Amino acid sequence: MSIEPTSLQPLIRVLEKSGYAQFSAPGDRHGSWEWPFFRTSKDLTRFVTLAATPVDSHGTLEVELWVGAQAADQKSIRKLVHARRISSEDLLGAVGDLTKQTEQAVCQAGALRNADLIPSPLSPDDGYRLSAGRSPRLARR
Amino acid sequence: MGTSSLLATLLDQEMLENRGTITISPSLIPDDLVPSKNGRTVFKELGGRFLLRYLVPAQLKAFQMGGTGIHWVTPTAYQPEETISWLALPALSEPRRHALVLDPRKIAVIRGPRWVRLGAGIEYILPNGFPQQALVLPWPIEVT
Repeated sequence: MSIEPTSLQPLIRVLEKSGYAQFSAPGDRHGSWEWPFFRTSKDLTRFVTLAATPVDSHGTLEVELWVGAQAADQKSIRKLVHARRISSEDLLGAVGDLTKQTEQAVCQAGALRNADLIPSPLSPDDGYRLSAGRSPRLARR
Repeated sequence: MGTSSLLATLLDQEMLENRGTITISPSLIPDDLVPSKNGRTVFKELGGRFLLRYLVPAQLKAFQMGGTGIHWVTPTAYQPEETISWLALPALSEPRRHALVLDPRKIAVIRGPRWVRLGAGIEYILPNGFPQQALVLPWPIEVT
């Protein structure tokens, strides 16, 4: 599936006014159309991501807004902050509401702190290499 | 979180980094800054392995002619209940029980590898999608 990015301009303006930039162009991440935006601060990189996933063969989409944050040590968190099911034909009509939800998502992303982050089960910086003779810690996510 | 995903990802990390010339890009590097290679180079760095592109149930017949636009793929086999968290995917209610198997040699441009942001897997980026010829099997393979 694909969504015309220009149809989402009001939502993008909210993100850009809040200091977010596109992390990657929109594309398909293992079944979900995804458009991630990021903002880097001193200690965290925060994300707001719009996603849409086809859930049946009739054009129904699960439209979601996710927020997340990641630190340089690979600790991270991600949270689903908005989800709704709509027909792909109704997506344009939903842009207004999605824009309001994006404003809230920006606030929720901004509220994420280092203390909210949880360790990654794999951290490249920690030398979790089998060949280095180190056993990786199992970490809960 | 299952340990098979941890082991599978660790072994893929070893396979890539033991070649001595490959660095897995940090997860916070945007797509455009991840090194771009041709598919034959990626096939070699993967030791002749293929790439996996997981699917939601509604997509089972969607890519029989290939896929356009940007797609993200991984070399690592995950169980459906682990795919979403390791690759930090949306749509928690849509388990990825199927995958397309892609031959990197048939894909002109591939960026990667890179650690998955907000997740823990390894990914490659197909900035121009994949042609029908890249499908190792003409149909998706069931993961379990």
